[in-house]
Amino acid sequence: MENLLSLWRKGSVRSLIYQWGLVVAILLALFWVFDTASTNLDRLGINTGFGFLDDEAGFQISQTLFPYSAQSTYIDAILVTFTNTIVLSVIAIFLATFLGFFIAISRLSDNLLLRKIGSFYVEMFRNIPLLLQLFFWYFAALKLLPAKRESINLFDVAFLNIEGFVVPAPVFEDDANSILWAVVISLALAVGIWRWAKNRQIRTGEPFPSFFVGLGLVVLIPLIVAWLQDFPISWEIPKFGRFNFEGGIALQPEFTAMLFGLTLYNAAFIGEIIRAGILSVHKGQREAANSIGFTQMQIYSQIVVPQAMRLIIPPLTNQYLNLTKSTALAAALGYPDFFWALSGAISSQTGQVLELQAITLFGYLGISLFIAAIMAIYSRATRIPEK
Amino acid sequence: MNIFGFKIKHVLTASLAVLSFGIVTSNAQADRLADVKKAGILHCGVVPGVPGYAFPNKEGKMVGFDVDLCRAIAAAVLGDANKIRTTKMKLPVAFNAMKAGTVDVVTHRFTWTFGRDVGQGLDFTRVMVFDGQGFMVRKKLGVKSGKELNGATFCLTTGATTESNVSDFFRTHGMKFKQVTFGSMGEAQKAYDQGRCDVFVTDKFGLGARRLAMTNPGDHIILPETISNEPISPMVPHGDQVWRDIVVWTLNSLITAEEYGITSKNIDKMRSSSTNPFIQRVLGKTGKFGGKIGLGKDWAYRAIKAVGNYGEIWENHLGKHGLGMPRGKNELYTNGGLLISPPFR
Amino acid sequence: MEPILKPFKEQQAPPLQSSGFVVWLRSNFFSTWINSLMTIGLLWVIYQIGSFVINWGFIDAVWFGESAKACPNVHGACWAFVTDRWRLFVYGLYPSELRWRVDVFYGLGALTIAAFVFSFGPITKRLRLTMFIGFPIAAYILLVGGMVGLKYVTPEDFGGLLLTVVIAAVGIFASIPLGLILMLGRTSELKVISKVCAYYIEFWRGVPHIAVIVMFVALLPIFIPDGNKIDIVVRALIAFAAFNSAYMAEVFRGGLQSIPAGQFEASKAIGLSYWKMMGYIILPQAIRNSVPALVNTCISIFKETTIVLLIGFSDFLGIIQLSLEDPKWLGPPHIFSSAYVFAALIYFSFTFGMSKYSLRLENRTNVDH
Repeated sequence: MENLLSLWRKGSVRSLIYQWGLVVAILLALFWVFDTASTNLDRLGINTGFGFLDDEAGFQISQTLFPYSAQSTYIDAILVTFTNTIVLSVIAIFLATFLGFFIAISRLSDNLLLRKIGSFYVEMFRNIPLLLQLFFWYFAALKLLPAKRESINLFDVAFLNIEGFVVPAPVFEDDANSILWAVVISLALAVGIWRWAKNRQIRTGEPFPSFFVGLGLVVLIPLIVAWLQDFPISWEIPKFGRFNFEGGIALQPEFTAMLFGLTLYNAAFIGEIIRAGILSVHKGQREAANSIGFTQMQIYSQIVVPQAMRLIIPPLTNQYLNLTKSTALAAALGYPDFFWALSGAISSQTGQVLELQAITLFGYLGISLFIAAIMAIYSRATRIPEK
Repeated sequence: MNIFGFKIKHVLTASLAVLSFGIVTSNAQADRLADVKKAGILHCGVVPGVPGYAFPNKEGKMVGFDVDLCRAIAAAVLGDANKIRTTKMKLPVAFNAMKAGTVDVVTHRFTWTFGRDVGQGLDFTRVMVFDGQGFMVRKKLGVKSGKELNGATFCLTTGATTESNVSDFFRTHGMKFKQVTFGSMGEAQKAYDQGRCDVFVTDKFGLGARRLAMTNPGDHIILPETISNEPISPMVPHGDQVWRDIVVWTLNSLITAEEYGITSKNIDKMRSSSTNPFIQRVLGKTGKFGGKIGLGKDWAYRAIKAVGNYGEIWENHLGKHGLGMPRGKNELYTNGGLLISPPFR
Repeated sequence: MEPILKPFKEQQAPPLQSSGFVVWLRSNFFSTWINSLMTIGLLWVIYQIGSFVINWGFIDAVWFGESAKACPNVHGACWAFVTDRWRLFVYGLYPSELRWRVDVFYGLGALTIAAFVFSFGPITKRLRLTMFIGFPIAAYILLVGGMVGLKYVTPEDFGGLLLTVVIAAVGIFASIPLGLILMLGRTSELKVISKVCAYYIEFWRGVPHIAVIVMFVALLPIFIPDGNKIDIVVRALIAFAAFNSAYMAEVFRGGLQSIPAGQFEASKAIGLSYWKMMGYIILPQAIRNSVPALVNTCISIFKETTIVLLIGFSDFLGIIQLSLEDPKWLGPPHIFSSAYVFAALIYFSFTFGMSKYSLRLENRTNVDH
């Protein structure tokens, strides 16, 4: 007894007991949950298993980035809608960051009116629930867009109406692969040049317009390759059929409204994050840069932003995660995202809720971890070496 | 690996044994009738948001056809039509939540299909509404038949049978279509009304109600095709036959009541003065039907008295006093419809 | 390398005036020609928007009516929809003869908030603490009842603003203690405990909230023994507590990290145990430091309550959406734009109030450092 008590008093032993106690408790809880679930499933006679994923889906998806029809399988439907979620998130992240940057700038402007409007924007958009904003944008947008037969005609190739913005679709011929390769190679070249220029600047202080050179390369090389092959791309011009435009690519109002709502809402938060980051850079830094003759552009790009980034990255990562998760609200507007498919059609047709719930959670966890990883890599790459 | 001389495996096994003992003792067979009586409240699954079926009125009370079926069962089982609790969930969630035994009876208009009946933890009871899905389009499109809809865009709701029906119809006729699928009927309808889609598709009785709800009802027509057969039936959790009998026969009594002219107004007179032995059996004056399913002998009397017979419920919510829809196939078999109740004999 | 130097600016005459209205105007609105142009442009935009809002929301608006027919003018707001159905928006499906209980609940809530916002006369720390602990208990007894002679009302009949407030309040009150525990776990030196808490937190932060709510509402009954009925609203509340506690944990962790290491070292040096160190020295400071972030989390919890409408609950926005489907109120789009604007105003007044309160707390706590 005396022995046991003294063992308990020893910190290391006690901590071991705490920890293993927790592990055992969690295992027991998990076991209990699984046991109850299997009893209940048996009692209710509910089917389980992932076999249903190979069955025919039988429903259509209004936006597909690769071939899909009602005859495709559930797994195809899940993949198509997963890409839809990613497309929406990525574009919204870019647009929201872009807009957020402008909001931050306007809130730091000399003009009092602009500052006030900036803060009015921020207060308004971040204090109203996103779902409400999405409903508003969707139905307001539908109201403003012209009816199908009264489309706004842009040079007979692109059309804007309530079905969305219909543009010609590129049709790639056999030789078009080389253009894709040209794009990849020129991108790699641009990255190489950017790194070389950065290193050189660190060594010699000599600046190099790597952005413009890189942009030129990425645009010019594929163009030259295409020209050498007599432009192996043709365009499919949308034509109005009995009911709708046929052919072409349509940017649908559900997508546009989601993009609009997500961008405006998240830009308010991102603007505040960027503003806080910029304000955190000491005024003396700017004055010093100014005094040795940096231009305003250089002050921002070389002095303020790199330092502000350290403070911006963690909350920005959080905001990106929030944005990605909130794309799940798309189900309400009929934009076919990942959650839309899993919680709607597939769930009600197959009734395999447990399995679908698992796919949903792991799908979104995957996206979240991916974003977190990218941001971690970026923040490591841009970290200012410790003194 | 050892902790203080014990093998982890042993520790785990021992704890699991203790825990599983707890589980075994807590798992007794459910008796839904006893549960409902003990709780003194009947838990019904409805999906609000469909005027006429289940919708909150201005004062914040749920009213409609689905709600009245629930009230009838509550009256039969508990003797008070107001002892109900309605669960309000959207379609895709609702079906999954209800099958896990959340509610005692689902009176929402779920279509009786193989997929929903088998292996889902729910049993259908009896068909209360015979419906079928159809198309609504704008008059100015000049469309006369569903077969002319090649290439059109559809607005529809997820979680219903609609998606597969439309897809089957178009595949049968070798046509193409586009669809925009919403989480609830309200959004789908609003989107159609704004012109997002050429066609709005749902159950025909629903369409009738929804047409009246458009900005300009006169601009829309319902096409003659009925693309599917939608027998709509309340459901009970799988595995309790006694409870299923109670629900089935309460619903049957509502239809029988209409067939024999028993209404909520004349029921007391009928009960005391009718000499028809059939009516006497239904209303519990003679016979022991109530006792056989575990309820008092006037169970059917209570149900009919509370909500009226089938015809009355229809007129109150879907017909004359409600959405103004004709009964169509939902007439009694004696009037050329499909509605028939097995006899109380 | 050559230094990059700009020529020195020419010496300028001192400004004639350094204060006054004109100087203020010039420095804030017309400092450069770009600024002046911007000011004029923005003034025009503000004028346009302002006149539209006044015309739409007031001059051309219809305030009272029984159905959509009352609002024929599509260029004006239709507030009649709101005035006709406000009872439904405020009380939801709460039994009409018991609505005085909801009124008392709102009143008590307002008093509690007032006790935290104002500080005069009888308002002491002790009173605040009593209200902070007493209010949830009183609210439960009032709203749910089933005791002290009050009739039982199922949470499933809560709706409208009442449901929104209840979900937000439970989300906030339940996630604060859970969040504290999770934070202590995550920052613990015990590797296993800290890992478990970290996984728990990151899991909830990585999945969409609507998916979690669907999971709890639709699947919870499968994971508990048969015969235990959990009200669906309660299931949604559990979901809210589950993921919000993860966010709260991170908020408190932020507060903890802002405490200098010297505080820990000093407490250990004078021989305090872990719990005493945390309870007396670290947590009080950490919680105070995390108050602004905590209020921000409360704001997002309040906004997030709207997602329950996606599973069919009639929260404030949900019941407005539902009412828009009432055949009596279906009509031209200006009816639902009015409804959405009204909803936005109500949500805004709550969240904006909270954010102003947080700003005030921030200023108050800043003084201490």
